[in-house]
Amino acid sequence: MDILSHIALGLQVAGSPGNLFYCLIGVLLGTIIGVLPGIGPTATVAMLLPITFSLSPEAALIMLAGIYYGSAYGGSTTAILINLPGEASASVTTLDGYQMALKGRPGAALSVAAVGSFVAGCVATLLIAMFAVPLTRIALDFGPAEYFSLIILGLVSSVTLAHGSIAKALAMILLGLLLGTVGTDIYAGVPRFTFGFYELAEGLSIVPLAVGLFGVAEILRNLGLPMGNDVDAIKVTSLFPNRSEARASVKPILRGTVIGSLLGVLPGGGALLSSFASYTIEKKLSKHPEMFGNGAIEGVAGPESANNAGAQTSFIPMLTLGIPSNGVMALMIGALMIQGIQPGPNVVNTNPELFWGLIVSMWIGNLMLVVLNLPLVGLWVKMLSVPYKVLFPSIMVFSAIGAYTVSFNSFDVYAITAFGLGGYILIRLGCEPVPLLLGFVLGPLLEENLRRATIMSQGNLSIFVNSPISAGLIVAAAIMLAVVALPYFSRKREEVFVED
Amino acid sequence: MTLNTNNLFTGAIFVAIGAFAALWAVMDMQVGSALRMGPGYFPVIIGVGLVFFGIVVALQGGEHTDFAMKGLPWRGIILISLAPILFGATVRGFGLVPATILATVSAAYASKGMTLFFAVVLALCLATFCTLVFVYGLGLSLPVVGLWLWG
Repeated sequence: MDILSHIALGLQVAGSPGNLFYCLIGVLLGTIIGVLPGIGPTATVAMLLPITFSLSPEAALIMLAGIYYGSAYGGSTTAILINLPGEASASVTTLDGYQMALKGRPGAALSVAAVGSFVAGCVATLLIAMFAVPLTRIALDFGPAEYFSLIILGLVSSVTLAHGSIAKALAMILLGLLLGTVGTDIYAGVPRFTFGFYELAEGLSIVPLAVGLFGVAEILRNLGLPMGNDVDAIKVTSLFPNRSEARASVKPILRGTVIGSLLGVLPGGGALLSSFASYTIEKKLSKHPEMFGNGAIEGVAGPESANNAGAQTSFIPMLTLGIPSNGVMALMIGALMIQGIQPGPNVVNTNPELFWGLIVSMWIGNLMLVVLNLPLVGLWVKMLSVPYKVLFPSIMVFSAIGAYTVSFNSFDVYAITAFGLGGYILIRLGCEPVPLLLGFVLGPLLEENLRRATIMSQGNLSIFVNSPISAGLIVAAAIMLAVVALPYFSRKREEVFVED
Repeated sequence: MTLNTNNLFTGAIFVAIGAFAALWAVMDMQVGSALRMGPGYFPVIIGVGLVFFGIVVALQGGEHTDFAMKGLPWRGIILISLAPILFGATVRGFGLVPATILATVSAAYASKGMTLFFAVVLALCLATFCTLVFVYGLGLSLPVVGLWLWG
């Protein structure tokens, strides 16, 4: 079968010593930033993006992907041992994981989380390998009108599944689209919104934008909060779950994997929503729901599997359609473009070694994470004693170096400050930064397809509803918006995202 | 329905940016028509959309909460903002090491109770680390110590 030769190709690429090394670096860095609160995968990937200039495309994406799913592992470690989710996607794990730790079962919680994540990672990798090619085939038939509508659907659904005010999120998308128009217009060759700065001729750079929004704005937010550094981690004695714990975990792991794999594909879904949904479902299905919140192992096994599966399958729309579903995927698109690869359905044909190498590397990376994480858990917890006053100046310096090395231009470094301040103000006012980043990345693509479609239809805007596929995508986007606007659903939506 | 200060303020920001962008696009670029879209067509649509959603945000009611722009951590904001500016202004002329030291010290003083000793030690450590990793490890062509300091 085709899929076997694809996986063999992937193994060959991902198994090369160089790429194994970058995979290891990626998952190690991911674990570290997963453990450390105050720095997330989006900011880290943004800081490291310029460094990947000098790597091969395969090594670059393998490393950046490792950071993303590695951070989910690291986040759950601190969630279980000190009741502090290193990443948002692990916040559900604190509910039962920490309770288990208090009851003397921290090792069982950690190993169930790790094994669940690994199972989920394997299944999700297989799913990507199976569905990626058929999906790209569909997308290859897309004309500009269909592509335009697909991007609209992607943007709209990223909003409806995110939390917070929808109107604000839509405004943030538009702001991102607007920032994406800065630079030279591709058709007419005239400058737009450059205000005389020659540095803007090629558009705003994604590195200072992402570093400012996700790194600097987060630092500013944390400075306003009281920061305690006393960490009381629970000692881990035995890592093995007992027989009844193991048996109770099997089904939640499998269910979590399915839920995560499905939700991960949706834009805006990914790891966070998957873990919340899995927790809710496990609690509903449980024969003893009163145990949830008091150390139910199902409440660790399900969400931890779900968030890892979701993290993996969120690569599907990015790899096959060129549509990012979250902030990290948006940066991956940026990484591809830096490498001179046009993201979209053609990647699988033009760069099969990149495509399959990346997919197989995720499986290898998951294996590395299990092997590394469980025995080294003590080391990761020690990472937490790094005080914040050391951490944030370091983030600032790495961000500055990263932005500078994009094009060895100080303008990009100053842009960090501008985006950091702007982002901080907007976040303080309750606006999420992710929709802005998605809008920024997809903006040029959206405009290009809009213009190509209208040229083809000779200015007739009905082309977007005359094509059945395009019409279907637009209708889907409209339904999503309408549903979220209904009072019943918006109340439910708030319930799902109540974090504690 | 009661208006909420935060939403009014947020909406006003969006309206201002959107209106500015749309007007600028109309004046500075060719807008064109749906048949032949000029460079300004898309920005005008986006700008108008931003004005619309800005108004929607502003009119959103909500429970009265404290104005989010009150009690900003000014010291942190200024010192953190200064760090990239110092780095950007000095990295070419003074080189990576001095630029890193300046940026680190500025950012470090954003946390209360910072001591000069701690800031300097942290700056030296970071400068060493960054030089080893970025210049010697990754081979980025950054000057370690720049021309201005060589005289």
